[in-house]
Amino acid sequence: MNDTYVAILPILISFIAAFTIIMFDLFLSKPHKIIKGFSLFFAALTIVPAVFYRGITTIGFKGQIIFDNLSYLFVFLIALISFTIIILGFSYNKERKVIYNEYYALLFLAQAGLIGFVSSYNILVLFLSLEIFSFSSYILTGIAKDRLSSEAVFKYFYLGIISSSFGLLGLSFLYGGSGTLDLRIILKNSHLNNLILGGLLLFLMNLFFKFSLSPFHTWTPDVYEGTTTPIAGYFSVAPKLAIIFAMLRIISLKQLSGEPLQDIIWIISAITIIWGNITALKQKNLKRLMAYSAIAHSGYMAMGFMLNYEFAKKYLLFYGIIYLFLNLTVFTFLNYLIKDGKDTVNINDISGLSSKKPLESFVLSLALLSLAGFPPTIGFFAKFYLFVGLIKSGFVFISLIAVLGTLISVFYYFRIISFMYIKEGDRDLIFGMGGKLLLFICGIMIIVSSFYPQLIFNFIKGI
Amino acid sequence: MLEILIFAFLGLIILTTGIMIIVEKKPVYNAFYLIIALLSMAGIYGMLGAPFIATLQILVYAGAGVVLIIMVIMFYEIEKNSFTSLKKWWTGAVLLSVLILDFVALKIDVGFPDKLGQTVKTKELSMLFFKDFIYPFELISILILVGVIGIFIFAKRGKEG
Repeated sequence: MNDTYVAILPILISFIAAFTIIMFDLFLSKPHKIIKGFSLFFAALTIVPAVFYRGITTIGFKGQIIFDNLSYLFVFLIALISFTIIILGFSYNKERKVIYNEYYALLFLAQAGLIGFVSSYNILVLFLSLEIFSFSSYILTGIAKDRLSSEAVFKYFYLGIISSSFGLLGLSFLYGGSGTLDLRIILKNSHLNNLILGGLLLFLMNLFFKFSLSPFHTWTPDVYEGTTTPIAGYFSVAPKLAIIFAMLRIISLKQLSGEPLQDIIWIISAITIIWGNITALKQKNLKRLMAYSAIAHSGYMAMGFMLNYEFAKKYLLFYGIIYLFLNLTVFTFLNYLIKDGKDTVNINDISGLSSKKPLESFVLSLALLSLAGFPPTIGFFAKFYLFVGLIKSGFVFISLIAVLGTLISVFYYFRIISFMYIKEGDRDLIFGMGGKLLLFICGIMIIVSSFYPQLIFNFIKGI
Repeated sequence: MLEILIFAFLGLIILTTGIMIIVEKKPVYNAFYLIIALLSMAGIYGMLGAPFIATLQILVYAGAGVVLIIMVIMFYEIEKNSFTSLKKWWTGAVLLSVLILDFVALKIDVGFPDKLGQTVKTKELSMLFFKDFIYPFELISILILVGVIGIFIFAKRGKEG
């Protein structure tokens, strides 16, 4: 269907949400409550076109924007993420004194950027959308304006603009080598010459930076530690999911296995898995630990980039969605570990928590067990299917490395659980209404999908 | 022959001013050399038969960009008397001569090298902007808006000052 207005709807809703929030902030005398309500409303509203138009492929702006099942699935997931992050922000921001209502507007701008990034083959649009996301995320990183957060935004911003400029250089190579902005025409050529290959590599480096793969991962722990916990949670899921979707689009055009790029992805993912898991072992700060865990998981997901499209759209997407729910669960828990305006996310701060908050601790343990890939949980199925797909495609050695990494990861995930259940402590936490509800839903999701993983396969079937 | 002479002259100016930007210690002088380098660059664009890019170069880079830089220098008051030190007869003469050179270069117009395609007129360019590439164009405007929000947030003092 060739309808620009329908195609642009999810992006438009996000932009309108952002502008409405800014205008409310400007003109209302007591805007905070209204803005909270409206941001939740708009996050829910973003889901509507994703549900309503699912199954229809809409093209707009002469093919510069394409909404097919893949895009609508992403719209659905990113709206869920935004909804969660907005709820988490309510209590956390009050505690850490983030006074700016632009926080919610920027979340929507970032969401619009990511949706635009996923739903286009035009390299100009790809770059600009990714930059809208990046700029919003730089601001969101530093929005707490205390020392840690300023340090985080400084590191993230400088490394980010360097990687973006390399990505732009790569895109100009792509344009110079092919004379067209359309990625479909660029990649459908049977032979990739060196210019296009180099351009693609540089562009992928930019994506890998946002994906925090190993040579480009150094910003991740500092940013996660310094920024507010909801935003750290956002960084750990939203850009990664977007890049998985974008990579799926690239793989659908040109299978990366068999190209020289395959070796580079192989090496990068192997380094990432080993480095992320080993460095996570000695972390005491839970946010830093989750950052290294996120790096390690990026490594697992990067292995999926080498699969062909048939496998990738099943196994890689499955892994991405599971990872989303698990990480959101963990960060929902970490969100309430705040006291007197400071994060108290040291591992000692949660010792003995299971006696005071048994249900919440149980959900966190479930999520951590899943992240470790412990057999009966859903995380095990995610890893299992991904590894099976890799071995079927002939990548046996990297799968062994990944299994080794998983074994290492069991140790640090279990340490958190052991601190909660075995160590003595008198720390109590106050989970607000939103936190309890979110943890409850996530816990149900994990348990149900553990026994019935087909549910999620059915959910992503139409891609 | 004339085009090679003018090209060499412009290139020489770009090189020397480029080096002077780095060597010179006074920030206002740096900005001044930057203007000259950018104006000479505009001359080369003009010679290549791209009058639109040449005009943009003068307006956006030499005009708006460097004015911004000078404004920042003024804000920080790095050097109180830096503007009086620029008040010399040769500064105006250099600027004027480079501008005249630009106009000469526009007249010469050796044309674009064949491989790079044809030159584009301003009207065609704006038709491209507002018809074919309206979506990326609007995305750029949003990107700038995000930047403005960021500046607003980081520049605003918090309630505790």
